[in-house]
Amino acid sequence: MTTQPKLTLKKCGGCGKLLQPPVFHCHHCGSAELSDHEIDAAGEIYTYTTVYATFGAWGKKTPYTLAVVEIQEGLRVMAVVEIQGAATRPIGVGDKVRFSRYDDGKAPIFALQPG
Amino acid sequence: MPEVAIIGAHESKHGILKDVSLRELISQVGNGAIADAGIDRKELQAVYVGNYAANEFNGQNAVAAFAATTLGLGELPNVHVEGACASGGLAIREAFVAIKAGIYHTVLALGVEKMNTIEGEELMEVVGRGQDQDFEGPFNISSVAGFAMNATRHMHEFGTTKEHLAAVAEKNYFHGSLNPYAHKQRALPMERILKANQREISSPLGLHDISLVTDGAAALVLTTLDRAKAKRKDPVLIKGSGIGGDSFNTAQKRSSVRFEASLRAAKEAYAMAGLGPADVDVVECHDCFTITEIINIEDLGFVEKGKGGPFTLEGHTRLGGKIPVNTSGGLKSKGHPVGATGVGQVVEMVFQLRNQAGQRQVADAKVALTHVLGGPGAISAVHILERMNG
Repeated sequence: MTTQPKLTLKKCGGCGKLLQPPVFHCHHCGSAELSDHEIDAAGEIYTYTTVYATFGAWGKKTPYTLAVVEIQEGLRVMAVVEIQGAATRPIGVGDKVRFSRYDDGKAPIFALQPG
Repeated sequence: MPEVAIIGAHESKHGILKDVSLRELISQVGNGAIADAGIDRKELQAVYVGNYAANEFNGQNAVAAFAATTLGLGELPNVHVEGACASGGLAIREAFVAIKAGIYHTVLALGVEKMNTIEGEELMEVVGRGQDQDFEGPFNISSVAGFAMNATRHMHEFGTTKEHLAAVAEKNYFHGSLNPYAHKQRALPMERILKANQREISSPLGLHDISLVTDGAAALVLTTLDRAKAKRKDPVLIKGSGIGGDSFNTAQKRSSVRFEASLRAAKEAYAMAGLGPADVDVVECHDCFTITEIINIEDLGFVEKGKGGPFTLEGHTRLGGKIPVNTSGGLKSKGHPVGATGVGQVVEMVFQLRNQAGQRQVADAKVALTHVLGGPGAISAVHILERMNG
């Protein structure tokens, strides 16, 4: 059984708040004591767009779905959502997704969960 | 604190101006505004320049110094102001604050962008640098994709449709067709727009939902109200000025259906002016994309949140309607020379308030509002202008 990949956030040693990296000092209390905080990120699509044209490396991977994924109350991340398995399944706001991996170590990729 | 007024306004033709250099654009509008103000350039005390990317587009940094020297004002304080697409509005704000604080009495606020020097992916990439390169850079997010996500959420929460988006484009193309300064001066029927938009660039946005890549410049002479009244019978008072920010990290914003930066800027401007949305006669707001105008008219208080689409489709923001929006044609049709846009908006509103807007004239316009938005709604500036008749 493969381990579920984890999304890495930062947790502030001063006030306990979660922050999205890259971050060097807590936005709330200013503490520099930030530690890695891995989460088994399941969430839902807050909003999305299917990108048909863009520049750079992702410009060669179109069409793909860019989304803002809500992991928990007050915590959302930008991500690409991949639809695995069956061919085209239309994506929608509220669809459930799960963190899959980092592309190039930077861009979170989430997988659309069966509806 | 003195009141601040506009006595000079000038803008260039907007379009693809391959044969007009950055220097010539600046020279045209700066000298045009000085002549319009009827002042000797020696009366100017500072130059504020809004420009997004002269470095990438034209190989030119220190663009405020470049502009000041171009205008024979090389010995004056010169300040470059950049906030992505809000740059021009921000330059006006800085000029306003300096006069209000009594540091200067007369200044030039100028915006310029000559961006048709690169194209395609290279252009998208430079425009894309107006977004956070750590949070959004890894996805090569274009400005289209960013605002497309606002559209998706707005459609989800309020039932906004592609027809509502197209209504913004149709109106702005119609207004632009009446504007001799506009990049695109050709009205298009709804059916044409809807059909072309079926081919999406980033869902749900298509070609006609996206503003133009435009070269252009605009300039204003600002001075104290006392000096303004001595110069001309119809100075335009800057009655309110507001500026506000919001997270540069799109995913960290509280909502995708409003721009909190706009809300903050508008709140300050309305409070300073002692006016509300009902007092405004004509508006220029930041329609970088059709969805942005829909959200803007809600955020600026002209229509209830969520109803911007139907309000537009019903014709209330068209010339002749309840509250004409983007009489210039907006970014969609007059064009979007990034750093110049905010200044050009005020030039158009000055024309309206002076009864110089020709076929675009809103009858008896007394109060105007301008609004710019930079980056993924990270910074906004709002100005409220009032006609002063001598």
